Amino acid sequence: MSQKFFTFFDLKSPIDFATIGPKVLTGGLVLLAVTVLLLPTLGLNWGLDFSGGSELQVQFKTPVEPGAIRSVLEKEGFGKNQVQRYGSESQNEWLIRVERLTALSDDDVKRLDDKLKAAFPDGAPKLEFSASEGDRVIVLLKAPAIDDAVALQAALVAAEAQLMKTVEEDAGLRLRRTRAVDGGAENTDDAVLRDEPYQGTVKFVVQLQGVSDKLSKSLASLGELEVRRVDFVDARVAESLRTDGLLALMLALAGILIYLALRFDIYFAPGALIATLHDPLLALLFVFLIGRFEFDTPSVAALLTIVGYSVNGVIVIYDRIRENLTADVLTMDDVKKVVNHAVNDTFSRSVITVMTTLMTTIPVAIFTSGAVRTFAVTLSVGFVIGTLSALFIAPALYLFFRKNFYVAPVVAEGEVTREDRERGVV
Amino acid sequence: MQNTVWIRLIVVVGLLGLAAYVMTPSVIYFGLSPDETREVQKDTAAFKKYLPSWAPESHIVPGLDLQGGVHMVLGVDLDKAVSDRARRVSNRLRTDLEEKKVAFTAVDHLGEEGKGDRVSATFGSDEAIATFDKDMAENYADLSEVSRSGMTITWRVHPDWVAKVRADAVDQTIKTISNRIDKMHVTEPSITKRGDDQVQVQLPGFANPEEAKALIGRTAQLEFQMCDDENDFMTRLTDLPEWSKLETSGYQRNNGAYAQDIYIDFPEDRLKDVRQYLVGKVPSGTVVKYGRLNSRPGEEIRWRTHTLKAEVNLTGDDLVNAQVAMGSPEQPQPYVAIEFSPTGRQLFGDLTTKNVGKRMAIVLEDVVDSAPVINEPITGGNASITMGGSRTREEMIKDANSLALVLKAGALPAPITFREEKTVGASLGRDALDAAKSASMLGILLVFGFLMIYYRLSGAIACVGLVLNLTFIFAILSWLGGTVTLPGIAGLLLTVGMANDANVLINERIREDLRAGKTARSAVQGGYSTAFSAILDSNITTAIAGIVLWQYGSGPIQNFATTLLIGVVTTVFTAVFCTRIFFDLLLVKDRDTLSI
Repeated sequence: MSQKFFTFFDLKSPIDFATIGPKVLTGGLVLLAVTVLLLPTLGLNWGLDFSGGSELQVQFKTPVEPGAIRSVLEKEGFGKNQVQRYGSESQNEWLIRVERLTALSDDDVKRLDDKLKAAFPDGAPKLEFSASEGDRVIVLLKAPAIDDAVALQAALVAAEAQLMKTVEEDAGLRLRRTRAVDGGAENTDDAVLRDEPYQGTVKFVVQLQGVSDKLSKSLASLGELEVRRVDFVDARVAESLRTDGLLALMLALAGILIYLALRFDIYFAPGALIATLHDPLLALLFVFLIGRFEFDTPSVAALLTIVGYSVNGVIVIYDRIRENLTADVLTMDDVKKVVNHAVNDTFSRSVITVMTTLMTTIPVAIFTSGAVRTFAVTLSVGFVIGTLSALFIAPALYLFFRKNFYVAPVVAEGEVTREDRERGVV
Repeated sequence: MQNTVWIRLIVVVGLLGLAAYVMTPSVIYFGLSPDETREVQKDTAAFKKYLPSWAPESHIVPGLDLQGGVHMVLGVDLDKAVSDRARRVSNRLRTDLEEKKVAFTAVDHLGEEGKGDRVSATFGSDEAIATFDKDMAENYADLSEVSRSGMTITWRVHPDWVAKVRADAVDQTIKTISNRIDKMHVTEPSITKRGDDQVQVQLPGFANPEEAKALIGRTAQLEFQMCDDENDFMTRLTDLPEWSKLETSGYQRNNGAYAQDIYIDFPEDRLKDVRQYLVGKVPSGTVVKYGRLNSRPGEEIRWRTHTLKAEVNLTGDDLVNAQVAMGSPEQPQPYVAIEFSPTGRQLFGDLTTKNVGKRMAIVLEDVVDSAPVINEPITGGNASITMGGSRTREEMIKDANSLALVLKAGALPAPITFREEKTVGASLGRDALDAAKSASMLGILLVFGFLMIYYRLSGAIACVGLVLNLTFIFAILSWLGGTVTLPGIAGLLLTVGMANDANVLINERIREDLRAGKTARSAVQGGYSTAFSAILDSNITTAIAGIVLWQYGSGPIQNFATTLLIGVVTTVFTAVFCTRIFFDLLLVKDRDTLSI
């Protein structure tokens, strides 16, 4: 009694994976080479997490021209900016990214420095400012008067309210209570306590407005707006996220490598590893190098997930090959037959699994936006590549390693070895 | 396996019951109306009244990207904390030398050298140095000597102390920020340490990053406000809660007039309720703040209200210095002496001149510290907060020290910088939630539809398995009080897609066996046992990626990893254990055909 099943796959005409495989493998290797070439030349379109900077998502009540937004940004000294429409035209929504991490432009710093010198001619004022951690300016004054914090407040903060918020004195250096000893050291009872202005340098910390605050305030000149999202990542955080991301990818690959080493023998493991490396790299090529999607922390997560998925696809097929490699399979032709059989047997599983997985990732890509959409797109592309590489590339690699590096098990004299059979000795 | 099918069914039904139990709060939470949600967001305790008494309290929390909110990473300036430490030691050394009458000309904190960890003292004589070495040096274990030339000794803060100060600074920052955020009425804020010198702050439902930054980073938390003792609105409150009582204590003003301090006395844990109770009852121009009542050790701690004029007359901005003074024989309590800036001096002088005989509240971090009567105008620019209460002198000195420190350093032990900030507006959060809902619906419908068309009844069984899978994931998340973000939902959907792989592996094997002519029962048995190793493999590789992600990620990425990892466990359980029960039930009557 044979049952009929609903199926898309006609098992009567199996696909010759063993023959097509090497061609796909060549194609895959060429694309890998392209990836390696494009990565340094074209570069990735880094997302905010990795590049650092500020990004605002704003929605205007009335239509606004991108040129108008850009000119406002340039007027405020945000020369390096990106202005992108978000959603449909009627939404009036914009993504605005600036590279600078601080509300102070170079011109601002210069102007402040001049102002400072004019206000404190005797204090040899020094302005310390680092653009990479730029939410504060440090002002150094030599031998300041008691009320210099007030004077500084008046000279800088009040005059530059757009830029600055508060002045804070670095406490403790201010007054030096000196014990002046009159008439010899021993006679301490006669000592007079005296407050003297400190002659050294005093540090004042001037807190700056946030970049996002400054941006939204200056953009308000274009019409009423709602700030829907603010992202700010400073240079140090961006740097540590980059290292952590790379480390995570390495760790995941190392983990998978160890798992593969435990799971497979020497003929299977290299193929599994190459296929596993191949898939995330090609996803990187298609989505981030050619597609120019922004590469952000969720992208690293997506690549890691692809690694997991693609190893799994390979394992299912290799397991089936191993299951069917009985002791009497000796010639390369037999091995090819086994491989073809195994891939065809698991073919419907491979296709159905990738289909149901795509049924969940594609809706996410359709309905969401921004980083999560990139994430879903990367996964979808990666899963398709992963399936193709499991079906074609992994078997081809197995055949390659089996053919070129096979060492026959040591056999007792008189037994027929594989080589003998292949050479037609027997 | 056949004969255990009923037992297995009972196990699964039991687990489902447990899942329903732990999920109850989450289901209720997400079923709240927008108004109720806002109420619960303002006050976590309010959620209890929507819960049946038997239900647990932890529920799934929508992430920042779904409900809007602020995420920030703050850097703590640890060098400054060490420098502060050096400065305090130099102050201590100076006072010490003065008290012990050791001759010296100067004690300095060398702010500019060695990242500010240097202290130097110039002594008046060789004998003075000898006295210091003999009698005092042992008290300065937190310093290590760097150099000695002539009458001058230079120290640096001892490396052990530096390590301690740095660690303390981050912990203290977290504590201080937590205290400040408590006053913002944000539900379930999370304030955690990240790396050596960073603090991560998450404020769900909070929309204004600049306001949050101002509150977290502000230095002024000391306020002086006049008490409004003429206002007797409290005497007219007729529906005071039973656990509170109205108290009046009279005092004589120095112009002979008699005034009354009217307040509500209540147990400490009712602070929120009193706040709630007074909403809408306080006349305009007046605010009610709260302070601790003195209590003896072992007694219940009680709080009281203070009726104050709304105007804040003076803040910590106008403060230059705060120091601990040890008190005198006449007035033995230690106190904190406050020194005002010139502007502060002026304001404080005016205020005290105008209000002689009235009480002025000293409000620290929104809590009334004390409300002394102004006996005479204070124009010298100095004020003091006296330590009270029935505590030991040591405790009072400790309190005075921390108060002075709080006042001086603006409560934060070291300056902070904002290194990362992500804000999602509430409207964007709603859009994201809608997107997540649509994507989930479409994804799940597609998968279920496909499975039922392709595998018929066996596909339906797979769908039941997936529903169970999702139920268990939600139950575990709810039990953990986990957060669900947009990437988390993507992880959930991905789990559905990949969990399906297990069903497909099993069903394809069953089909193969049926094609080979096996009976339905042995095909099912064979399908499950041969597919098991592949299912395990698939989930182990996903788990490896998930664990690495969980380690690497923060926030949304970690969330994705969490759902993925929980999904791995529930997938193996539902796809292998649960769905098998349904096949076995189908085959109980020994049927030979299987809809697959």
